[in-house]
Amino acid sequence: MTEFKISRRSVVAGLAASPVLPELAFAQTGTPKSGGVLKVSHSTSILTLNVLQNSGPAEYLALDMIYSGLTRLDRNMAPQPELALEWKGENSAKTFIFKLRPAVKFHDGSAFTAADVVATIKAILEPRTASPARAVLDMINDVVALDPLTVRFDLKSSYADLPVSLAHANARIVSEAALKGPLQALNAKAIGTGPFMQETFDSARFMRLVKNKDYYRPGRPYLDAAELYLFPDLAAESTNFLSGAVDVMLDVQQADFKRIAAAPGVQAQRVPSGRFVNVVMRRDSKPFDDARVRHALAMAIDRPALVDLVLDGLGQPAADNCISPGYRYLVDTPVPKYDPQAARKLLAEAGHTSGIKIPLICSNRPAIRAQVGVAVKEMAKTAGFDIDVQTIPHDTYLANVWRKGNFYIGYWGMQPTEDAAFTLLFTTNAAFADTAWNNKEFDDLVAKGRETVDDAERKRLYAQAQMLMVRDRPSIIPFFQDVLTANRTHVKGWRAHPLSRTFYTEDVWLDRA
Amino acid sequence: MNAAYFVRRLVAVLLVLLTVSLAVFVITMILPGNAAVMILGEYATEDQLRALSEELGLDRPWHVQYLGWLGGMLAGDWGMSMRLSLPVTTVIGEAFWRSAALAAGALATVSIIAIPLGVAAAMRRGTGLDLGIGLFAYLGTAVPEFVTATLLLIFLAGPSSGLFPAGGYIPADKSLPGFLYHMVLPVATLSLILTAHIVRQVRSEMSDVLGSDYVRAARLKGLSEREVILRHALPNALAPAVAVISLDVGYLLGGILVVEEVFAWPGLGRLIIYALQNRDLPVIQAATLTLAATYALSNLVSDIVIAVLDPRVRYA
Repeated sequence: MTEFKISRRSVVAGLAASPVLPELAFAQTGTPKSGGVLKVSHSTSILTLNVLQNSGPAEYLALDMIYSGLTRLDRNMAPQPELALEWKGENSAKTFIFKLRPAVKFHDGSAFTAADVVATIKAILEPRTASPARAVLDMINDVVALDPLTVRFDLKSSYADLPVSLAHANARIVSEAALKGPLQALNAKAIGTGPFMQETFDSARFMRLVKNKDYYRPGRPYLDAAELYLFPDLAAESTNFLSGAVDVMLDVQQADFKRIAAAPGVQAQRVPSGRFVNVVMRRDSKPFDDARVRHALAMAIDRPALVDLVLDGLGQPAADNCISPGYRYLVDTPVPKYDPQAARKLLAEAGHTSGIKIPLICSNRPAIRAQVGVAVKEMAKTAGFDIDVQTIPHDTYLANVWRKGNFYIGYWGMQPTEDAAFTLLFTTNAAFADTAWNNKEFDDLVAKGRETVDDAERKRLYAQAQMLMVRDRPSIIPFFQDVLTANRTHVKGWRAHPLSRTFYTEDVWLDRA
Repeated sequence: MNAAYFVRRLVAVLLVLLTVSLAVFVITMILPGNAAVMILGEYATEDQLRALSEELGLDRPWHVQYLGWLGGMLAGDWGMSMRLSLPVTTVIGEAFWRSAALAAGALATVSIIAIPLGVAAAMRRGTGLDLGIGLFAYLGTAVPEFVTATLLLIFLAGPSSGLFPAGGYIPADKSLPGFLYHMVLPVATLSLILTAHIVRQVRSEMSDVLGSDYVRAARLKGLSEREVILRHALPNALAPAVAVISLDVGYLLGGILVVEEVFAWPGLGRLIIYALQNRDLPVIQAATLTLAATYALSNLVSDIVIAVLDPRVRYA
C-alpha cells in the first residue's frame, strides 16, 4: 500500500505562471517504456462523451484522456499550463491574458487556435448548454481572441482564481467547428487535443482509446491504447482485478480496500481528499436554532472512532470546517474532543434537560450515509441525543428530504478552491445552500477573498471565514474521506488525484518483463 | 385447432399489454419528486435542471403524454433514451437479443439436462439416484440466483482457478468463441435453477404416467421398456412440462435481471436496472412493456402448443 501525502502549497504561483512541467518529481523506478494496452475497470457507466456536461466518475477519466483544458490542476491544486502556456492577470485580476500553446492539433487534424477557446467558453456561458462549468466561470463578462494564440478574458469583478476555474473538468476545449453543429453530436463523438483518441465507445460496457501520435507533450503518451471496462457488480469488478484481467481499478470501495491492498502484485493507493459526509442541522428550525444544541452534537461525536468505524481508517477527522489539508489556505481548526458529559450539560443549559428525541434521515445511496447516521446515533446517546436513524431510498430522499428537511446526511466532493467550497453550501447564495446559516460577515469575507489578489491578505480573509464556520457550526463535518484506487504493480505512473477529475494518463506506462 | 380459439387468446394478450402500458405509464408519472432532479441527481446545476425539464415536456396533462407515447410506440417511434442519447428502439433491440441469447442458452441446456434427469428419477423412484436428483432439485429451487451466481464467480472465475471470465461481453460477430465463453457462467446460473424446477415437474408427471393403466397395458403387450418410456409415457408427461417451461420464461425474465447485473452482461435486465437507477423514463416504459410482451407471447405460444398436444384444451 502506498500513501501519498499532499503538502499544502507554501507559495502560490501568483498570476504569472512559470512554464514548468507538473509533477515530474514524482519518483518512479526504472525508465519509462512505450507501448502496451492499459485495461481499466470502473463501476459506473460512461453515459456521455459531452465534455461540457459529463459528471460521472468514469466519464471524468475517459474525457480527461481525450480533451485538454487551458490549465490543469496538479496534485497540490495549483494550475499548471496545458493548452495555455502562460497567463497574466491585469487590472487587479479583472482582465486576464492567456498565451496559447502553438502547433497543437485536434484529433481530426485541424489546428487549435484562440477561436476554439472563445467558442468553448461562450458555449459554457450559454445556460442552454447546461454545463456545470458555468457556475465557476460566470464572472466572465467577455472573451476575445486578440490573435490566433492570445485570448483575453474580461471579468465582471476581480477573480484571482480564474486559472484554477479554467481547469474545471467541464471547461476542456472543444473545437469551434464541433460547437457549430448540434450539441448532441458531442455525446457520442469526442474530438479533443488530449493524449488519447476515441476509438470504440459502447456506453453499456466498453470504451477503447488509442494513442494520439500528435500529442503536444513530446514522447507522450507511453501507452499505445487504453481500454475501459464497465463492471456494474462490485464483486465481479474486484474479482477481475485480482485475477489480473485488468491493470487498474479506477475506484476501490472502502470495504474492499484492505483485502485488495493485501493481494500479491497489487499496489493500492489512498490519497487524502476533501470529500466529506456532513450532518445537516438547519438553523432556521428547532432545536438547531440554538447554537448550544449544535455544539453539543459536535462534542457528542467521537471523530477518530468514526474514521475507524465508517472509513476503516481511510480518512482523517475534521473540525466542521469544509476546508481540508489538501486546499491552499487551511487554517488550523482543532477537532472537537469527544465529551458526551459536557455535551449533556450544554443540552441541559439549552433547556433540554431530558435530552432531545429527533429523526435523522439518511439516503440509502451511497451506503456511507446510513453508516455515519448509525454511528452518530450510538455515539451521541450518552450525551442525551435520542436519534432515530431512518434510511430511505435515494429518490425519496431527493424528493422529500434533501434541501427540505432539517436533520439529514449530505455527501460532497472536494472542490478545487476555497471559494468553490464556501459557495457550494455555506454562503447565503450558495448553489446548494441547506444550512440556513445566512451569515453576512461570512458572505463578505468570501466575496472579498474572491477578489483579493494579494496572497497573504487572501489567506487572512479565508482564515477568518473558517474561524467563523467553526464558531457557528452551520453543519457537522466529522471527517474527510480518502480517494482510493489500485493498480497491478507492472503499471507505473498511475496516481490518484484528490479531485478525481484529472489523471495524468499520458505519464502511465507498463513495466512488463 | 380452430381460429376462434386463437383469436380469443390473441385479443386477451393485446388487452393485457394495453393494461400494462397504462400501468407502467401511470407509475412512472406518479413517482415522487421532480423528474429532472431525479434524473440528474443532487449535484446538478440549475441550468441542467431547466434544460432537462424543457426537453421532457412534463408540463402537458398526463393523458396527452400517454396517448402521444402510445401512438409513438405503435408507430415504431419509441422516443430517445434520456441518458444514452440513442433511440430507445436501438437500445432495447440490442439488449433484447443479448438477453434472448442467454435465455435460449439456458432453455436449451435445461431441455438437454432436465428431461432425462426427471425421467431417470421417476424410473428409479426411491433409489439413491432419485434421492440425489431430488436433493439437487430442492437445492436449486431454494438457493437464489444471486447466491449461485456469486458462488460460481468465486469458484470458477476467481483468481485461483480463473477457468472462466468473471463477466463482460464480446459481440458474437467479433469472436464467436469469446461470445460463447462469456456466456457459460450466466447460462449455468440460470440453468441450475430452471433445471431444478423442470426435473421435479417431469419426475412427478412421469411417475403418474408410469403408474397409469395404459403404460401397464403397453408393458403387458410385451413392448420393450425403451419403447414404453419413449413412445407412450414421455409424450404424455411432457405436456405439463411445456406449461412449466412457459411459466419459467417469466422466471427467466426476472432471473436475467440479477444474472446480467452480476456478470456484466449488457442485456435487457441490466438495461432496466440502469434505467430505473437513472430515471430514464422512456427506457423504463419501453423495456417493461417489452418484458410484458415477451411473457404474454410465450404464454400464448405455450397455450397453442398445449392445445395441439391436448384436444380437450381447445374446446374448454
